[in-house]
Amino acid sequence: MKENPRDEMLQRDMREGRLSKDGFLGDDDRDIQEIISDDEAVLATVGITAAKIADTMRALTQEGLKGMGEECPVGDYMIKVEEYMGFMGCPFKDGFRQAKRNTTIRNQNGKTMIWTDVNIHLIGAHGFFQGKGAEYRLEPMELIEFLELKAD
Amino acid sequence: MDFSVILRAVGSLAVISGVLSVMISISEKVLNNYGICEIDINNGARLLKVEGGSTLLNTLAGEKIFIPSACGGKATCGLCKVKVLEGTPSGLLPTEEPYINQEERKQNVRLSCQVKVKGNMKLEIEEELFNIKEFICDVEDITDMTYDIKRVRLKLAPGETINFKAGQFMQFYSKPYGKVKEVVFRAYSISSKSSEHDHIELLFRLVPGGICTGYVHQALKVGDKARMSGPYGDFYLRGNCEELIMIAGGSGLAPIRSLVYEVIENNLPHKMRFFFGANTLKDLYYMEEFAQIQKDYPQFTFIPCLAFPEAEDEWTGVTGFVTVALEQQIQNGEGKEAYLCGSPGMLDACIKILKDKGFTDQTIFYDKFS
Repeated sequence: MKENPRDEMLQRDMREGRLSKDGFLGDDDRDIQEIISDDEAVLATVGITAAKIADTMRALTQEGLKGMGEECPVGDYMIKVEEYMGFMGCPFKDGFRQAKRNTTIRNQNGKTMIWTDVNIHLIGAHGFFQGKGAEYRLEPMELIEFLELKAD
Repeated sequence: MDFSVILRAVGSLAVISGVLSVMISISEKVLNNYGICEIDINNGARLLKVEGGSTLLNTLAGEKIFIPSACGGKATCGLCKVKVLEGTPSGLLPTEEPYINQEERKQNVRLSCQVKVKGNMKLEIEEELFNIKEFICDVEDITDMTYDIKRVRLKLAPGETINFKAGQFMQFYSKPYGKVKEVVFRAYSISSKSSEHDHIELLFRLVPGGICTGYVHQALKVGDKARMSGPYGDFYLRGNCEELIMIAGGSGLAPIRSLVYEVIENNLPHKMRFFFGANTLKDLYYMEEFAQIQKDYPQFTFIPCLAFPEAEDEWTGVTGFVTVALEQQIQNGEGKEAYLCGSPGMLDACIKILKDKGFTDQTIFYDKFS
């Protein structure tokens, strides 16, 4: 159950066509808090925090920026970071505001993942990997495997 | 359990829900009826009488006073700040807190998209915002400049004119389309000549997942009506120098094109060097036009730079990032001003080089996409 009008506003703003064309919830019927809790439970099974995942993603994007829009090698990955006009704010309205930036990252097995700077922030600051079916939903276990993260 | 009992229970619940909905609806109308409110702007400079109940941002827009905003009133951009001197309870809403610093709190700065008009108010806003107008235009032409950039030429309504400084931007309003059920607006630099008062040209690079650029690329057609407000922004020509160094990438070319024409059409004496960075040949556009300007006006030099030209491009120009060209071709910042528009990554790298060469915060002007 939604707790207050702010939560309702958040749930509404996360839907398609509000802050972004495709929204943050996909076809997921769960409450945002429920989505966060479920993903948190998944992370707990492997002892890795959302903050650690976000830190790793952020570091890779920063390295990828050196390619200035073209694919460049970073460790075992090939990374392309593209920047677009305008910026995107955090739907949680916490003051985060970042350039619209997409990171496309490919590992040596040819698997590719794509994330935005808002993705990184949502994971790091709110533990929110987005709803199932959302364009930029990142499955926690898939990310952990892709980033080759290990529990501390 | 008897089926009729269940039916009665469900029926009773439905009736109770219906009654509650009606009561909530009535109470909302009664409680949210704030009547006519007076808004005093800048100590009597403008006096408005408005219907209460809406956000300050929307209320002012209804009175043709357009406060810049990039998120359309969803409290995620923090741009729509106004000083509310009287008429709203003190204390920020949680949605405002991240955007208002301590100094602004002391001055009663609020986000106009979050503050509701519930009574008489006194505001302080920048005088120049009174000059911002709303335009309903005809879409006269849409041209593909590259695979992901469209130029939209808009004709103002008959008799209407716009005065802007080259480098400024407009807010363009999209309409509902596809999954997007509401109007949103975003900022786009003007690419046309400031001498042209009855048309505006804007460049739209498609942003993945972008509502407004998606609208332009997928739904907007020649002959449609389009809504804009403006002009906004403080990115414009200062010209206290001998030479202008202009740097752009992608759709960042828009304000630079307008600046180049401003210098030429006003017979200003400045030399101009325009570094236009792109990755491959398919990302370059306006090439013939700038080549022609270079031919016609010796004071102008056009330097397109391709970071990753492909073999079939047969590229003979500067190869490498625009930063490499800057390193090689700019000796120092003496007598120069720099004007930049592009992605934050490119701009940060260019600004660092310019500062190393002696440019200062007073001689570097930029319109960072963010």
